[in-house]
Amino acid sequence: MAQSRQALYDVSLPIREKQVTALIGPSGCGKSTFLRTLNRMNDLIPGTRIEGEALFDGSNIYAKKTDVVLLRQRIGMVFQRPNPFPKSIFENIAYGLRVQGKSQSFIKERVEASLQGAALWDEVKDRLNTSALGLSGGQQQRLCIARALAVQPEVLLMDEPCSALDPIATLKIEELITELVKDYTIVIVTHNMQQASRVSHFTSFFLSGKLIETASTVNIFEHPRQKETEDYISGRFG
Amino acid sequence: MAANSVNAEAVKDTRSKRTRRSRFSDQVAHGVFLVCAILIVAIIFGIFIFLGFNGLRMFQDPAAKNFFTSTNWAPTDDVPSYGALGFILGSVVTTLLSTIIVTPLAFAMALYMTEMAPRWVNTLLRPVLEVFTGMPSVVIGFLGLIVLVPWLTKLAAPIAPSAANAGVGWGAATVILVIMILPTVVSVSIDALNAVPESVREASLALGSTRWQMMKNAVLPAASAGLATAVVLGMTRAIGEALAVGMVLQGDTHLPDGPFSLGWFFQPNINITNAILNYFSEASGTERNGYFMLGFVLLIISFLFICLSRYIASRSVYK
Repeated sequence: MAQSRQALYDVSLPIREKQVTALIGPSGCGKSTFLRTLNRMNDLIPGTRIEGEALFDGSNIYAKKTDVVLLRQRIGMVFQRPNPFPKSIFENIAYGLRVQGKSQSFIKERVEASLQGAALWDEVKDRLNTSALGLSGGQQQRLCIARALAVQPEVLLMDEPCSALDPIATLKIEELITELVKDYTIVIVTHNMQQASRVSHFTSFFLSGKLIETASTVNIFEHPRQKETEDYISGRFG
Repeated sequence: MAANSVNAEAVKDTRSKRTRRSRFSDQVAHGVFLVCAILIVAIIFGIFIFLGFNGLRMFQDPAAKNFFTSTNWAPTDDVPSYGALGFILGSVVTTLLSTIIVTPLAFAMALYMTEMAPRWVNTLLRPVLEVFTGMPSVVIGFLGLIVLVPWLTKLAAPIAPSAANAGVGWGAATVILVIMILPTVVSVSIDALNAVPESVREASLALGSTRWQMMKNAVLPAASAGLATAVVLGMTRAIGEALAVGMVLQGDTHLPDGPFSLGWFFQPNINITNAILNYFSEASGTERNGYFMLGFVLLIISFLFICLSRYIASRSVYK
């Protein structure tokens, strides 16, 4: 039933602090799988096997002694589809802090700061106790970003955060990313090359589970070194 | 050109024939389903009216006015008394007690099966659970009588008022009901938990929760409506169960003597279904209408449970 297939081959990629690194490539190229190795979300898929190491702050996150819960508090994640909990806006943001057992006054403070950080505060400040599921798709995705920010991570992983959103909502998220990168290291998976060129400092191109090329975003789009990269960004396939 | 248009005419003709035919079969199917639907509703209403009419007729007899307030059911006495509170109490107490025991057990089992168990455990346990759900109640009652009751007799002897027949009663009935409704509640709870999207679990773990926190804070609240429905369905099954419960109740028409105590649970005792089962066929007059009334009360309670479960399900977030 479960098909076994190697998703990634020999990927070696530096992620720079307080920069946006974009991962691009056609569907099924392994870019999302790679992103999910960075906070060990692939652990959830039974039967996953991973070889090699991912260094974060000098220590291997795949080492036996790594506390996965703590790791995920330091490396937050935003998913493809907005996935708020069926709870109030306030409780969504408070979730990560509640599981850490933080005090109510601290939580209140962080909820407001996080919503402001995600540029959502002004739209929701009068209805914090209403269900998060009543928000629009774009608002829900910014809520998910705020929720990830609330636990004060160092790194934010974004897995095609705009693929379910309309152009206006996408623009808002992109503006937010350029704002957030002042304080956070961001890795974003996108199948939208314009988006990669708009928001990222570095871009890595994946194809069939292999990392083809990684360079500064300007270089990737203007002077790609590999033929596959050039073919992809010039729209010859994908 | 000419040949073409002839051809087109022919095609059009067969097409319209086909649509006409399918429209006719549509209408037939529609009619059949409509009749079925009306029939079902009519039967349900018929049962309600039949039970209600026969049951409520007992209140023409002034002696029946203490039906809901007295525990003295003595229809054949010189001054007959129709207090049914003891029966109602029996059904309500055993149902509530078994539900209180089943709910945490069922949720724990369902959580284990959806969130923790490896796949092979699921493939093994799921069919077993379904077999248990369909277990004939006479089989469970029989097992209760030859396995559970002797064991309870020994266990309850010190606290039961009379040691001889300690073991049967509300205690045994509650255990029987637990065994009967547990598979149903677990099964529906598993469906409710499976309906919670994987994205909710991912969201929780990505925020740095442990697996246990994920279950407690994200999965259970997201499934709450479905879980409540599971419990209410269990209660509906418990309150209507007659045979298996009757086999281990063995009461007549009265609650045990003396003030209410723990010993009551280990003495022959009564409930609604057992009373109807044992006495209805030989009753007449007001007493007979009294058993109709008990059935009507049971139906109303079940109906309220169903309404409750529909209401809870309508507030469900994930369906």
